Amino acid sequence: MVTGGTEFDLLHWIPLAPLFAAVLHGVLLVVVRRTVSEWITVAISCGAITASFVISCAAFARMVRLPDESRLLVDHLYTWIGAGVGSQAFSTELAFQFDPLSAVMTLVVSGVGALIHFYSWGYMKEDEREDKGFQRFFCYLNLFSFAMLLLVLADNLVLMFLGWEGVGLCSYLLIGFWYSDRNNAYAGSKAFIVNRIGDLGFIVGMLLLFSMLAEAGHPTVGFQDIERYFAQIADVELDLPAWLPGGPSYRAVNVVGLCFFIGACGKSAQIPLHVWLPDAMAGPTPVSALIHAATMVTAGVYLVCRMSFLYAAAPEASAIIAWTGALTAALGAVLALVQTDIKKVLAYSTMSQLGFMFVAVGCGAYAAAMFHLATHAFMQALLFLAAGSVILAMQHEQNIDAMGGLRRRIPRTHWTFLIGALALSGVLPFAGFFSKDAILVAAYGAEVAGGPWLYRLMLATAGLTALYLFRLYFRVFRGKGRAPRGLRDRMEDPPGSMVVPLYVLSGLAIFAGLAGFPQAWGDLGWVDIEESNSFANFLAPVLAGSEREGLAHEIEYRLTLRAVLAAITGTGLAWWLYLQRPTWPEKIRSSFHRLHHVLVAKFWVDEIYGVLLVRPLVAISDRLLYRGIDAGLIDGLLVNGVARSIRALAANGLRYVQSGLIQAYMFLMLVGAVAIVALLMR
Amino acid sequence: MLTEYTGVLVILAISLVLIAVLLGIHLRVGPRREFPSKQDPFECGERPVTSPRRRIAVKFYVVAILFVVFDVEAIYFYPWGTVFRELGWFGYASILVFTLPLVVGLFYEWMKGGLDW
Amino acid sequence: MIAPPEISPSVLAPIGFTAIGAMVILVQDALLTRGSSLLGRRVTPAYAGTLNAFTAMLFLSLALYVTVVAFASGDSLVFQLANPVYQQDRFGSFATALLVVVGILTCALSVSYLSELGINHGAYYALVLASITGAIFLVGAIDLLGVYVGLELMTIPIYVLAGFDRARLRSNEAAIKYFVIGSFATAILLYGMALIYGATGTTSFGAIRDAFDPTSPVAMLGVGLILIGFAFKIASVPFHQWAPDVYEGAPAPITAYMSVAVKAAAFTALLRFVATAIGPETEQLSDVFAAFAVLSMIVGNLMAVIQENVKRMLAYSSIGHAGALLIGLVTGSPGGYAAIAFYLVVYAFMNLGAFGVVIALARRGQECERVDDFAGLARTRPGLAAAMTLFMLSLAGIPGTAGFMAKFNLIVVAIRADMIWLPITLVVTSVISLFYYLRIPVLMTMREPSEPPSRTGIASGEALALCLCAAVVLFLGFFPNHGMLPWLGLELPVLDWASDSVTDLFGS
Repeated sequence: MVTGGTEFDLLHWIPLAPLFAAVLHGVLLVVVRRTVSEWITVAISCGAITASFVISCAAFARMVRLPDESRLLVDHLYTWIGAGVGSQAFSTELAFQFDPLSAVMTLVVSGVGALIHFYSWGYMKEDEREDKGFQRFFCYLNLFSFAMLLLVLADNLVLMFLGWEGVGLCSYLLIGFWYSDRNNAYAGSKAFIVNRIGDLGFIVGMLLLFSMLAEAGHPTVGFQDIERYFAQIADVELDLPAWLPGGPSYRAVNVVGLCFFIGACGKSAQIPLHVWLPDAMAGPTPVSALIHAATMVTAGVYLVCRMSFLYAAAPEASAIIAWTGALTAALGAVLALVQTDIKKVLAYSTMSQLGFMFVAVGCGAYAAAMFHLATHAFMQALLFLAAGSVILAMQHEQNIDAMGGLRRRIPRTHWTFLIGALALSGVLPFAGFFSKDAILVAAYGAEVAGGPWLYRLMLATAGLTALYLFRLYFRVFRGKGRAPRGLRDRMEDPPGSMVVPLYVLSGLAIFAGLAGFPQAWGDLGWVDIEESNSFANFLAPVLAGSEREGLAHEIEYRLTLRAVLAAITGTGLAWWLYLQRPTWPEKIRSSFHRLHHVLVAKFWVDEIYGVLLVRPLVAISDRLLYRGIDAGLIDGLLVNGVARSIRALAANGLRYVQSGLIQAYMFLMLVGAVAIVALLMR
Repeated sequence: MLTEYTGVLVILAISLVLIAVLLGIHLRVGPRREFPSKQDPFECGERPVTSPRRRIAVKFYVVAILFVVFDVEAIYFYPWGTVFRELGWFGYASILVFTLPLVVGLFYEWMKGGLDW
Repeated sequence: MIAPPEISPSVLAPIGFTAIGAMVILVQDALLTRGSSLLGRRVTPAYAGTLNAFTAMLFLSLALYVTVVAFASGDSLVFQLANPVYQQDRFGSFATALLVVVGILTCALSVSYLSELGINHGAYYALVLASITGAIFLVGAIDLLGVYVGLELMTIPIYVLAGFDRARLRSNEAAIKYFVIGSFATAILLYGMALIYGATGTTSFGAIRDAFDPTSPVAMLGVGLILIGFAFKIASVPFHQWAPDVYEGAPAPITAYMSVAVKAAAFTALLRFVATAIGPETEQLSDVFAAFAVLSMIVGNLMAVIQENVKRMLAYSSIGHAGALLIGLVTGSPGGYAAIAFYLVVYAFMNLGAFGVVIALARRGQECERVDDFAGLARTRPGLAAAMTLFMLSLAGIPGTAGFMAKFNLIVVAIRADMIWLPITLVVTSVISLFYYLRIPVLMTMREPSEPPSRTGIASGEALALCLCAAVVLFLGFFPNHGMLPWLGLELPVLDWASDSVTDLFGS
């Protein structure tokens, strides 16, 4: 039960509005046999998500008027699960909370979500012709918005898990949206299954945390309560099997933290559960933008930030997170360099940027992670939506080798894509610069094992980011046009409903960074020091470790300089290689063809998983569990066998007693009567 | 507690044994010959004139049942009649309640043509 | 001058309404067929039948009203002539209300069915009302003679009703079978009563209780024979064999009425007899009931598996449910009796609903009786198919339906009474029962219809009755006790009513 906090009755409408829209779509899909008109569909969906966004803004406005320490809005609907009495009483509430952390997520999800809903209107238009695809798409999209908003607004772990699973489900539905192609369906399944593995971590973490709290006398799953009583369990030790390294006794918070991180890994595509994200690009591009770039994949980061008090007390777990994030960031950046599918490049870029965020949370810079999360949502969504426009213009050709020189054909798309690329590369006045800089600063000052190397790796990755993004940009928009002549002449920018979201996101990608102006720059006298880095200040009350001492400002300037240099180097290199010396990349590729082969094969991770995990699992499931136990033992022997023998018993034995002759019936009654009387008079 | 009924049990057993023995002797010893007149229904030694499986008009049953009903009803009136004065109005009301369903039944029967032969 | 006994008119009000109703219908029907036109319409047999049904329902509604008033007041009133014969208490009123509602639903389900068969005579409704009169008297009887009169008044009209479809041989066979075996059972019952009277010197329940000696063989023999009489009425193994044949042959509404009302009335009377005349804690009784229960559950559910006729299948299922109900008697506790009372309510609605669907599908010349007739129904008659699915799920005891709550209640009570094997038998046989209950939804949804539906409409009476049954089954499935209808300002704690009512039996 949430104690304290200001009541805000409208809060529950933020997730419920899209839910109602989804249900309405579902009813229309099932009940109304004809295809519903496009306008009605769009009005329902976009109306709902816009309503969510408006209510979110209202809630935000209400919250900022409260003093810093008590910035918490709550909305309690009803007790969802209640059990136990007295001190053992446990209840899970269906309640929402809206604190600064939730606020950032809610605004991003509903805001970017609304833009992408509008964008989808144009993008999915041609799906109207068959299978009610248009409406089905918006139904799923609304359902996703509901689940995601539930996830970020939930006031307890169980409710959050409900949203967590919900977004996984919608992700599955939308990746496999064009299910008639078998590969799309497989991609959806892969995403779902890999996510399930992560979910196991989430569940185990949740149960461990709950059991520890219950042992300490506070059986609760509410975030506020967990945080309140966390101090009592911070030093609990857990005994784990001795064969684990570093054992046999572990600090429980580390174990719990790692369990939650496994969940976050699955959702946010971190090593080793990153394999699903590139395949997820099989879904429609708006889905990739909304789910696999801006919102769902960041749920892992949100989870860790939500539990920041726990991670602040678990340095070992944090170190693992930081290094996992760093490796993922580097891996994603390297793999993005060799991809030729425009969406896959962006997918690896997403993975890499998520790695950046995990580096930040691993180093304890939760505010920096959230900042990058927000700006990344704008930038990556922008890139994806622009890529979607390119794909539409190319009539669903996604290979960048077939593009080039599109700058003049689709100028609006070109400009917005360029803004997105500049921003994400971390070029100075754009949003990505500020957020990435904050992460690099955090990595530099981190007290993590191998700290300096962490920073160097991240700096290199930042350079690579610029390189692969501008490789993409130059290959697609500059240089010689490689598209067929006829196609090139028919190319045009998308209609208004798709361009406006691009413009809005461009604006955000340019200016959003100013919200997180670095503290150090206050020295330069350009801005008032009190006002600077208002983003981190805003989040400070809800994130742990915000009072950590910053680096000396001189060091920060140096770091900033390095970051800018890395971005410029990457950009310049891309310009040199792909525009000035277009033949060089081919030469490099052939001279390092082994390395290139490894990269294109993505280090054979999928294949290794296939041999080590998937195939044995399928074999066991099929031969032993399905054919042996399920079909053979349970279905064959227990269910059908018993049913058959009961039938035989009734048909061959009992049936003859029911002869239809009155005298026989009476005789049986008499026998029964004698038996009953004997039983009574014994 | 059942010991007092031992005699009953003994008689039951003896009678069962006796039945079994008699039937058994009959089955083993008795000759079995069949001829048409043996299959005829027994009518005091006379040969049957018509088949006994003749249909009888259902009206007959209706009238018979009605007769039985009102016959029995009349029996109830006699004891009531003898103490009619002592029972007073309550007794009168009771016999009315008793008679009413019968009257209604008779009315129904009449209107439906149950009494038309 | 003999002083007349004082009789409170409200004691006899429910019986009075049903009895007078029966007579009114007879008179009305006799007059109607002769009249050429009424209320501007020519009197056809169907019109007359509808009017008769309405009259029946009107009187049943009046009876329901006075019963509810009596239940709400919570008083115990005794109808006494020379001896106390009939008692109106909350237990009796609870059962009476159920019986009357069942009567109303039976009438509603009958109208168009009888018209289709061309047997929509006024006598039908009069007989139903007469039977209900007997049933009401039975549930309130506190004297063996009262029990006997009530039982006979309830049963004899059913003998007639079972054979009401005179043109059909099966119906005649059912009537004769029921009559012959029923007389046999009644004779046994009467013999038991005589023995009890011989052993105790009285026929009044309270006095029997005082004079009863469980070690006396005569008294125990009498009790045993009475139990057999009741076991026959509730169709418990091994006195069940008439049920499938009679249920199959009788017109479907009468089958529904028999399986629900007769069972409820006999059960209620049995509860009252055991609780107030013998003593529920008598150990030998529990053994007998346990034997009845186990045998009924096993035989009923096993035999239902191989049936191809829906009415016959429901007959065996009703035997199985009788076995389940008997578990409550084995416990001999107020909780067990309350569980039975609740189960009876639930069973009434779900079984009436199931038969209602069969009735709604029956058309001139062909009853929809075979299980295969349900093939593809979900396509051709989706509404009826949905209702049938709900009733089947409820009969099987799937959560979310009233059937689950009823069984759950019973199992809880049994486990509290430290019984293990009876609840286990109940659960196992319920699993077996899934086989034949779910077979119908499977056929309805997964098989193509064999022939186009003979009729697509549904009579309004049938529709209303089915809707009510479905609503109750769902409602009690979710709110067995704290059912609040805030928008009506109503509170329907059915479970509380059941347990309140049985306190009358254990009160003193």
